[in-house]
Amino acid sequence: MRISSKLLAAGGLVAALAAFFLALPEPGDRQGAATGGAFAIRGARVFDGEQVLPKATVLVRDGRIEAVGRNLEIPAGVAIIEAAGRTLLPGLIDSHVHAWGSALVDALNFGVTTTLGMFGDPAMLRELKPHRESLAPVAFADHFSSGWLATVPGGHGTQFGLPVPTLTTPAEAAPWVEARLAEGSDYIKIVYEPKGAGGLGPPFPSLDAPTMQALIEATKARSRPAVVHISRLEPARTALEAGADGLVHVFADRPIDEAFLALAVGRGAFVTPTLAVTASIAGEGEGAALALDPRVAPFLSPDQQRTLTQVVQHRLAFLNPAVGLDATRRLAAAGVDILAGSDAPNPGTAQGVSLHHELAMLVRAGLTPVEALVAATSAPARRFGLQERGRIAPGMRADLLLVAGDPTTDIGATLDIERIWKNGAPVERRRYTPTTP
Amino acid sequence: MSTLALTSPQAARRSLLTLLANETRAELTKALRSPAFVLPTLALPLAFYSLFGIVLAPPGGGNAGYLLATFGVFAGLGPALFGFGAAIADERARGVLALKQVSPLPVGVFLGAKLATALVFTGTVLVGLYALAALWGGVALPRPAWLLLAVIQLLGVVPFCLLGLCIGLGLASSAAMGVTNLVFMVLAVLGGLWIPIMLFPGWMQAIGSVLPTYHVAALALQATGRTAGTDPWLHVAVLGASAAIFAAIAWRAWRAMPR
Amino acid sequence: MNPDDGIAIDARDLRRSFGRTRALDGLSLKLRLGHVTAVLGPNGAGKTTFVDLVLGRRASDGGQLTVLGHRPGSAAARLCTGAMLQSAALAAELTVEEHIALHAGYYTNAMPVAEAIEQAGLEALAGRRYGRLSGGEQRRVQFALAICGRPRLLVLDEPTVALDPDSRRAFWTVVRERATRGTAVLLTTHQLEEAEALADRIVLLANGRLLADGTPGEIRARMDARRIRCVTALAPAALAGLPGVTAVESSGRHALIRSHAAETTLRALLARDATVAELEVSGASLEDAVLDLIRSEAA
Repeated sequence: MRISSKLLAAGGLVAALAAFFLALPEPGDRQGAATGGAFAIRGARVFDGEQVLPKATVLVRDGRIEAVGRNLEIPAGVAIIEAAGRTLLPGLIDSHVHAWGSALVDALNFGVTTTLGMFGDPAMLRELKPHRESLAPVAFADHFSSGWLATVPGGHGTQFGLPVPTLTTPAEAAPWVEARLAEGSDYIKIVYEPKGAGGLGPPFPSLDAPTMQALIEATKARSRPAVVHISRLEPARTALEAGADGLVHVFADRPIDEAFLALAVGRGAFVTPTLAVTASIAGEGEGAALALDPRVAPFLSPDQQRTLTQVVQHRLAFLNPAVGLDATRRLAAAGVDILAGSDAPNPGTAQGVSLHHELAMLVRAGLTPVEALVAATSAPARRFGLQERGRIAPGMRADLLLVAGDPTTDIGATLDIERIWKNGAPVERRRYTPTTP
Repeated sequence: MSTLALTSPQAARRSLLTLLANETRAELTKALRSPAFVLPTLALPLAFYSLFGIVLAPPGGGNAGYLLATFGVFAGLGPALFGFGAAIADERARGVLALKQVSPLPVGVFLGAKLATALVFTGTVLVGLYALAALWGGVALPRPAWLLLAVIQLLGVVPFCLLGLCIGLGLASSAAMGVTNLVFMVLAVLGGLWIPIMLFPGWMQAIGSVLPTYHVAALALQATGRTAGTDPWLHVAVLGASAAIFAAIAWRAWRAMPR
Repeated sequence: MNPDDGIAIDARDLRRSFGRTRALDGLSLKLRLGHVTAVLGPNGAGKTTFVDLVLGRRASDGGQLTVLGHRPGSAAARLCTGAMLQSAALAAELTVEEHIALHAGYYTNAMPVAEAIEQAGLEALAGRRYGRLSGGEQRRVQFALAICGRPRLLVLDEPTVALDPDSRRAFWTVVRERATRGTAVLLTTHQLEEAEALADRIVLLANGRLLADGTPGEIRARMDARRIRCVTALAPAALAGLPGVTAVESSGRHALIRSHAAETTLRALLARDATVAELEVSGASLEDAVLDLIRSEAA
């Protein structure tokens, strides 16, 4: 009897432990239910991700957009938000970030509801994946990412002390890509910074062209986007010739030429110019001025405050921001997809706020305000295959940004943020006590 | 279980198991009746994790997952070092160890019970940590990863137990408590259990990277899918080697001991 | 060696040194089952070393030693040995009963816990935590641990130091009873009274060697020494020549005379020196007796 009762107790303990382990959440588990509420935003100018509807009503239910229309009938009992004179935008998508710490909270605080990581900890990505598939309210932006980046030992991306898995030969390319996809990477980012003629270029080694090509092919074989980091024209050309889906910076060393335009159009490539960070690295940053903007200052977290006002220590002399602006204008004019990316939190940029800066830079380059807004909404959603994002249309995720002015004519108005919704739930904007008087 | 199967070697093995169970129960009873010792051991990792991994961590920042791996190692460090180091030195000074040695209790059972006690404490804290991480830290792992993490964090106490044994057998009881505390802090902090080792200056990283805590934490981090790029077998090898060194030192201390 | 031949401990030419000190210097000794053997001797005589070797806590440098036919300290030897060490502060958090039950579990032939509690006179304290017991009560728990496994060899190292006289007498009764049932008892003590009350045999050690070995009566006869302290005009050499004198020392004005026949010595002393003053006669301490024995052995 004593033995059997002991066995029973031991069995009970084992069963309880097993039950505990089975109850621990897995990444695929649905996290909570969506908010049951429905509401309508009435009378706003609506930029739906592609075009402007001068006056429309948007009905949101259970975290999704249910209907959009000029004379939409609002069902009884649905809360109405009067938004006449304001502009409703899809939640913004930042196509080039590096997320850690409070990055995604800071991004959402400025209406950026989706971020595309271009190098970061894959474990963080895996932890965040369930959230981006859920409609439960969250206090941070959704995140997609390349995870690690493809680079050589000692190359760009290895200088931060993170355990970046590197490679050097084409033969390693396919297993490397497989390993990233197994880690959860959504797409593959490749660093291509070869030494140019006369040894020009950044002071670190780089992958060679055949390895880059092998990486791109392996990625495409798995139907994922392959994007390439470049800073100069000739490497950019090589990258597009190798089949890259897009470039995550625009070159800023030499003026763009017709051959490159034809190549970019012919290949259907996209470009994320990251003009704001290029200016900052070239020593012409505007982050410090932006940090003083009264629409920005109260909402900057300590991290944002620090990175936005940071001045780059070793500016890269071969970069000429004007060349980048000109290339962006001509690429856009030729019909190449332009995506807005901040490259935050590099010196002179900050999560969220610098995407607004980048939109202004795109307009400065020559894009129309609407084209700039497309670059931060429907274009990245289309190019990165993001479902339910970047547009205001029935069935889309209700990630929304309501601003006071009209950014479709004055791009600077994106910072006049009135309200933010994530998954159909209002986001309480965080205010911070200024660190400097 | 068939009664016919109870031949004498099996009966002997079973009685060893009973001895181990009794000795472990006595150790646990002792610990539970001295809450001044047991409460900090159990509560400290949970409180620290709640604070740094959940309350102070930015949502979506990944801290909860990272610190789950390292604080789970921290959870085992205390029971292992204090249960073997300070406690055995104390038992030696009080003559209890001598009494156990001349009694028919096999020394393996004596040490096994200490290990089992450390494992029970560690396991209890781990259950709490995992629950905190799952409920409030937003941590989700594939089921095999949860299990692997638990196995690493439980087996990871073995080198710390052996290190504690070196302290407990080698040092006078007056010195052992202080040394155990010092070793505990050094292993926890420099091993990167509270703050990632990458954030330290280079010389501290160099010290940290030879500590067993760093290597157990590295395995735990890998189990949760972090910091790929180092060979897990390298960490296993370092831990095996340090366990062997600690065991050898403990064995020497045992032989040299004026029992 | 077969334990059934009645020999519990068989030591032959046992040697053990610590540095240059010879703690045991060729000790040969047999302890019988059913006997209580008291090992006496001054500090440093080798008692503790002998106990340590018997319990397997130390290895000998030479000679042979078996405990119930087994190697000392081996699992088999420990299974049939119970020990009460000089100092053992058990865990304060466990109760008397828990301590005894745990320890009894180590043996294959243990007595019921209640029996051990009763034999150690702990019935009223069974549920009390060890840390809340008096020094004497704690000593009784340690005794219970020593006997709970029904050992064939019971080693008691200075067992009654903290006991009050009543407890000590009760303790002696239980030890005697265990011996009657065939247990060999090895007792070390500083108290002649305890040795006399308990032991079938007294073994005197000095400088690691066997000095005397016999029944308490035999030893008592050899130890019946007195100390005479006085002021006398006689020279030390003359004093040493008096009948019965074994040793003479001087301490300031006083002479210290040891004698194994004090009355005869006193008569002779007073007859030779009429000036004897400040005369004191006292019984020799065990230490003195042993010293006398050592000197008489050496002579």
